[in-house]
Amino acid sequence: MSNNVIERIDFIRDLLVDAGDMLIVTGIGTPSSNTRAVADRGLNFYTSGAMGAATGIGLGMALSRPDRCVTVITGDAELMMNVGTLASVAVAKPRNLSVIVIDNERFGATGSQISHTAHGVDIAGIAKACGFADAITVRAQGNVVGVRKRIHEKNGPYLCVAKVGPNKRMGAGPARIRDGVMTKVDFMRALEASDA
Amino acid sequence: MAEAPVFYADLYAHLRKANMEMLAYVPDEALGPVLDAAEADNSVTTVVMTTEEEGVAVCCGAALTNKRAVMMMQSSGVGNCVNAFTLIQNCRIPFLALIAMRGEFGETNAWQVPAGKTTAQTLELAGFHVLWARRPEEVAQIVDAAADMVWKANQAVAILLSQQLVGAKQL
Repeated sequence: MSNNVIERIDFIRDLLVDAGDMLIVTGIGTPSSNTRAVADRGLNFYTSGAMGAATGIGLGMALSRPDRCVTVITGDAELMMNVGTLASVAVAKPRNLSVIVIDNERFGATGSQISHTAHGVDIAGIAKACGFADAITVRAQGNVVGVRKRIHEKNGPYLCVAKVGPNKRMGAGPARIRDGVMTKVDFMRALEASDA
Repeated sequence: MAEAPVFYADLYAHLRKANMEMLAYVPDEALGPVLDAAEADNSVTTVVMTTEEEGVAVCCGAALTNKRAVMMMQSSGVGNCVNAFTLIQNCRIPFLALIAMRGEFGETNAWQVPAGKTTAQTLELAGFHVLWARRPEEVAQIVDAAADMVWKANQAVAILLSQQLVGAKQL
């Protein structure tokens, strides 16, 4: 087993304590359910499918709304499924985009099979090689303070891999929140309200 | 390089008339004039993708923040997008794809044919309305119709530029 000690839900909670009008996209599986559990808000766009799309959605939002900070919170396997998106982000250079990878080194939703990062694949290293402004890996809960500061700076694109311990099972949340059209409508209404 | 056929100017002008402000793409020779026009246009953001499915996500992110984006690609990329297309259907996101065909009218490369044969059906199975453009004089009307369906009726629409229109690559 991995020796990672960060408790994922604590990391996400502390990361988002002053999210303000930030736009947040979450990746399929536990990143979506964790974020919903500890920091539910209209400006969160939760995905529960289309694995690999979270960072691309964040890129589209970041380019379309350069005035807002955009943060993607996703899992290591979700990101690896479309790892080329890191190259596209680096080319587009949205300063307002941050990608937070909740890395448990497992395919968590399918039975915690060992994933690529458990074998040493270094997502922060990939992001750096692509040309991200900054990319780091953190292994202690105390690092969240610096990461939180960084995602508000608009000096990206920025990526942080948080090495976390094993998943704790959490419910998928109410069906209303899992529905894609409702998720879209909630997000777009919240965006409109925050622009008013 | 030869001057681009006139219909490309119609195509681009009508996308802009519909307020397209972002163009995500994996390039294709037959789409070169559209990309050139977008890159010369300060009102349009172009975003190059490593694979077409990324572009689906990018255009959806733009739509969620009220920006009109178009995904431009070659037909062989459609198969790469099938899982990403579920995002469009689940969330009912307005989506416009501009696709240059390979593997149909006059194709000379057998390797292009299997993907070309399945392009329209794949899109239809994924929930798209498919509009074929085969003649230069119909391009403007097709773009207008597609833009209305996408941005007024919240539909997913793919415009397929046939090789009858853009020409088949001679190998």
